Amino acid sequence: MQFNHLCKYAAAAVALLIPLLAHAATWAELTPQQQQALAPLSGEWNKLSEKQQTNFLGIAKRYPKLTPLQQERVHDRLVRWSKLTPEQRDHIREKYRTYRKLPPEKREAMKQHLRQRHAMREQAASAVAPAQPKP
Amino acid sequence: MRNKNLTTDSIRKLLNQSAHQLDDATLDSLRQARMRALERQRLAEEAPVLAWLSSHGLKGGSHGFWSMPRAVLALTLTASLIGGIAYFQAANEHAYDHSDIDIAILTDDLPVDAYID
Repeated sequence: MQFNHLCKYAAAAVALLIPLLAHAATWAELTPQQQQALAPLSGEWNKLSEKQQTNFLGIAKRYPKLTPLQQERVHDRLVRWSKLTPEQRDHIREKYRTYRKLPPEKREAMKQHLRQRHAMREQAASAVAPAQPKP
Repeated sequence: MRNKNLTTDSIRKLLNQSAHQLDDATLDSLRQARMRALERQRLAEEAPVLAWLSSHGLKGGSHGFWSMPRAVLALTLTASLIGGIAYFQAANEHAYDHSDIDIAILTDDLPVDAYID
């Protein structure tokens, strides 16, 4: 009798807590504020891993505090960010942390270097890209 | 009419006389019933919540681990579960949540691809 009651209580507690464990949320389940912050990801949200969703929800939480320019940048880059591999994202994070620790003058030099390299890569990519066939 | 002449003391005497006429088995049953009634009354007076738990089978027996009230055991288990899950989730989210650094990267002057070697 005692044990049965205890089991019933434990089962009820587990049943109540199961929804907390089911962490992944569909796009429709996000709040309007989260949907607005993550709007560029609406099409692929349900395909993202739970880890990615957790991380993007963290970004959505901080999004309202950003300036309009920063919000625009986030929207422009979200999809590209989501398409990178986890290893690429980790590599960028590590590089960015190192970059932030540099003294201001070195940081500026590094930024210039990265900007030039990126511009050259884009130039090279557009030169290699095949011409679009005329309809 | 005769009843009007009865006093508390006379009633007590009459009851005692009647009780003395009862056989041992009946007296024993009455004694046990009285003890049970007194026990219920004591519980209800000292802790209405405990009495309610007891009457609903939520208060445990009298030996060892199981002598703890079952509600306390259930609450302890539930609290442990909630605590464990909250800790697991917090640790999990912390492990996955790079949003601080990510938001800095996403709002930086340089595009994301500039950081890729």
